[in-house]
Amino acid sequence: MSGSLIQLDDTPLPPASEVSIPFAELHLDAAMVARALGYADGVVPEPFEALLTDVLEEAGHRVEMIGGYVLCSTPRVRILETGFEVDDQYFDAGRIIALGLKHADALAVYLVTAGAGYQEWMRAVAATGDPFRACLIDALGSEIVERAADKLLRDVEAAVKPMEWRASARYGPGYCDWKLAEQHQLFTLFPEGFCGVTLGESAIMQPMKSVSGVFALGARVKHRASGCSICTMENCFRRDKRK
Amino acid sequence: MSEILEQIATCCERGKMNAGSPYPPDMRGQDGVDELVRKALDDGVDPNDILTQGLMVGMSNVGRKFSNNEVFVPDLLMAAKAMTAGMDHLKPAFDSGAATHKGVFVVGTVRGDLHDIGKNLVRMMMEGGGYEVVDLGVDVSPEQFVEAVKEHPGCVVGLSALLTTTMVNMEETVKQVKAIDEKAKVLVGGAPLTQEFADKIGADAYSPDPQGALDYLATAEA
Ligand code: B12
Repeated sequence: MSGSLIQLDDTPLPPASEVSIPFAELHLDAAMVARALGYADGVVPEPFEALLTDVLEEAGHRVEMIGGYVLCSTPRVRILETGFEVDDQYFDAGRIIALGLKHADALAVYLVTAGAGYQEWMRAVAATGDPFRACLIDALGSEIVERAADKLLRDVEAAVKPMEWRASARYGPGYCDWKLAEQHQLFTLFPEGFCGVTLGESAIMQPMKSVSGVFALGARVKHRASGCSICTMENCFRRDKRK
Repeated sequence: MSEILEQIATCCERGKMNAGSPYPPDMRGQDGVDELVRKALDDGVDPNDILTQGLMVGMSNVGRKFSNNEVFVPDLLMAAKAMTAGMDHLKPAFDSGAATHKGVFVVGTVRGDLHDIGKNLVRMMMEGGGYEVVDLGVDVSPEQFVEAVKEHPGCVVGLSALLTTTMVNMEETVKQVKAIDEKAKVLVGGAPLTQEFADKIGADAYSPDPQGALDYLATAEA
């Protein structure tokens, strides 16, 4: 168990930090958003493509993307059979997620948001009575924040690479068997007002285009399948029902 | 069905709004819903037939394709846009009583939840299905639903929720709506819902997509 004794101070990362994530570094293109909308081959019919390109261009000016993470390392963190512990708090994340976090030397508890400006843009366009544009902006916002969270993970992984640590996949409350209500408990690990995201009573984050979760870092951590590939939601609009 | 009604249905399904609109590319330059509905009215076609045998047929076709993953959200939105172009011409007929809606559909995302894309699609499809829709927005309390039901006696109620923490608020809403009008039909939908959950909370129907709700209402009313 070489890595497990490494203390937080030993990692090349600060224990908690907020970073702005430049839109351009996400390398988003129309095909990605098309796939998120359901067009499996990434081709949107004309004239959606022109509209999408237009929306993508403007999105670059509207997002105020902030990502942040809090690092908690062993012995503060313990990964158990069906959940994990940070300090004295138990997170009932379920077996699949616990397996995904196995062998963590540290946990990064993260938050990413496309920002209040994006939310305002969405609202303003919806109010102009153009549901079509509003919908594209909405779908793009979802894609932006997910890709930004991927980037945050890659950046953190790059920073711990000198220690020969790897990152697991991202897992968040509301996925697999991790109850969404535990979002409240997760937020106790963030400093007040972290990334400008607030949590409502029903565990909804504001701005809407925000994601939260954890990933494991460590020498023996594996990146296991997550997301769509292990989801069982039968009625998801992203599931290809034609097969 | 007369030829013009068939054309209206096709244009609506394909999202062909008017002659000037570039979408869909293979129909460029042809008349769209806008011109065809106007022409049908000029020719003396009954506004009710334009709605039920033209626009609604088109919306129902695209709705079914959406359920089968043959077309996607943007296609549905384009069809709804075309439908609206047609409805603008029919509005005077509805206002004068020459044509009638199928009924009122009150829709909202339940308390604590702010997701609205799904709810908005349901709204458009219900409009496309011939209902007058009252959209209460997002984060709607049981009391607000009750008020709307009082205001629109005989309406159908649609509840949307995208989170497990908010779908539980559907139960209270169903209870309160049924308490003031036990015959009021309540339909529920949203990603984390199941038929089992709908049964448990006493909702009349669950559907994973808007078309299923229309199909349910069609059989329930027959
Ligand atoms: C895109 C997306 C996001 C986007 C934002 C979505 C938005 N609205 O802004 C982003 C990436 C930001 C996001 C974040 C999160 N998300 Co999310 N997200 C989704 C996803 C993939 C699609 C939602 C969507 O846009 N659907 C498109 C519309 C068209 O579909 P729809 O709303 O379901 O509506 C259709 C039907 O349901 C139906 N319908 C809807 N209402 C009604 C009503 C009636 C009466 C009828 C008949 C039909 C009907 O008709 C519609 C058209 O077919 C869903 C999974 C899914 N498959 O739905 C998860 C999902 C909703 N998210 C989930 C979670 C957990 C989260 C997060 C909590 C994750 C996290 N830890 O950070 C956060 C929370 C965000 C917040 N602000 O608090 C979970 C919720 C599960 C739960 N346990 O509650 C889901 C279900 C994913 C999952 N687990 O599989 N999410």
